[in-house]
Amino acid sequence: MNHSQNHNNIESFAFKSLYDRYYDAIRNFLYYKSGNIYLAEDLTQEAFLILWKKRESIDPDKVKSYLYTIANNLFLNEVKHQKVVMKFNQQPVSTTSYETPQFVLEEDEFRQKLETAISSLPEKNRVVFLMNRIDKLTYKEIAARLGLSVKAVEKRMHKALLELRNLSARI
Amino acid sequence: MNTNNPKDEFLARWLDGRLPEEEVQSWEASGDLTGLTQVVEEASRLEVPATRSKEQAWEDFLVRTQQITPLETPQQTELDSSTTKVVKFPRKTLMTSLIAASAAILLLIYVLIPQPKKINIPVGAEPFTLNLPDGSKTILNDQSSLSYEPSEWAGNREVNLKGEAFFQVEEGSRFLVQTPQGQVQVLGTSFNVFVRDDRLEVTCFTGKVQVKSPKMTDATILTRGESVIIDKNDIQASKHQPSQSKIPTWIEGSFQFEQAPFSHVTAEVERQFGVTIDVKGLEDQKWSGVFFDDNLEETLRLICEPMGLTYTQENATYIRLIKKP
Repeated sequence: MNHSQNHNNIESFAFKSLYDRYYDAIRNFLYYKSGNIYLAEDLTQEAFLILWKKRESIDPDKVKSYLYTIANNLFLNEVKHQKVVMKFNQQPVSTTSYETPQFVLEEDEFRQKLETAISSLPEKNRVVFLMNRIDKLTYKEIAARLGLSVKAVEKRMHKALLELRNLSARI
Repeated sequence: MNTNNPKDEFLARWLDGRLPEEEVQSWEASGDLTGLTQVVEEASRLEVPATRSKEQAWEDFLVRTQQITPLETPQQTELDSSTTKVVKFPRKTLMTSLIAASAAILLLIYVLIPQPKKINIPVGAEPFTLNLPDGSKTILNDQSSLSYEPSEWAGNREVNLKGEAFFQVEEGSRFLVQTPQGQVQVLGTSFNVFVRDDRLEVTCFTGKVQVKSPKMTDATILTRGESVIIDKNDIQASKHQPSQSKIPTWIEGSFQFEQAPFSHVTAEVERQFGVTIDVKGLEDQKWSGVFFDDNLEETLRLICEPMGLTYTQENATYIRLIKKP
């Protein structure tokens, strides 16, 4: 009993480091897809529970992309054709801001437009764009997590930027 | 020049700092990138909202894995250390034992309190379909919240609702919708519940529904096509023509009103489009008609026209309705 108890503890410690490392990323990923934070948090737990159940048969090198696959499948099972409305919190502006004089619009108003524009991006492009911007992941890292080629990630990113450039042109 | 066709993803490479300097300069000269720079920098300062911290989520996760919290037990470690190569933990003081014990008790309490499941739908969202544990289904309208206890579902099919939802209930034991304004009880049927502010409105689509409210002395039973509205100071029962419709129209994005107080109509517009509408002085006028959730301008025209009103949109989310001069 002692041994198995300790074993479990060690196991759960190891799992905790995995959880710590990917919890935010998976939750964010699901939020980028759904725009619903409650759903994103619930499905993140589900995803880790599935991983927990299979923890002994999983190749540690593939855990990361496997987690994203589980999360994506859970998302597909859960929702069909939801219109996404995203709301974000925002870090305060850093003291060295690069704002140009033509952006005299209120911060809030700009952010609302940005949220609307992000919400209306096609899901795949939006996910890649936000993984890069918010989770600060490189294209290579995004490609590894989503099981895509770097080129495919760059194409999605380019499309997202193209649409957002149109937004900035309208402002 | 790169062998890749740069057109396919040049913006991605620009953001990554891999676009050749001359190209960047020529884009910048044409004013194309300054706006986008602002957008990408703004976007990188966004944060995803959270309803709980990662630590809280982890505790919840542990509970769900039926795992005892990783508190190690001191005596056992010491016994083991003589025979195995277990890392030796410092001898526990009374204090740390107490902390460990109280943490274990807290966890136990946490395990014993069932965790309700709660869904909140924001304004401006599409109808959200939720499958309940027994196969019953509910579709939630904008700005509505619903909660239930998954662990008790088998013996007690009960949900708490604020806002508006349509229910398709599988046959079985009692199914209860609790609302701040009263309760709706059924056996196996489909019905719509609207509960906002002081108003409770229940419409039965199939089967039978029983509605109880502190504002009524007796429970009311509704059958197909019937509805009851319990308002601040008024109870109205009505019988519609049994329609062909199997579901309420709001699920498909159309909102119908008949002689409804104008403030109810504008409140629904606010929920569907995520806007604020100033209706000062017009609240109690009556409005009949239908609007759709896909075009705000058209909707505003539709609701203004029969009332002899016009509207001004003061900003993206604030709309003022005024009498036509």
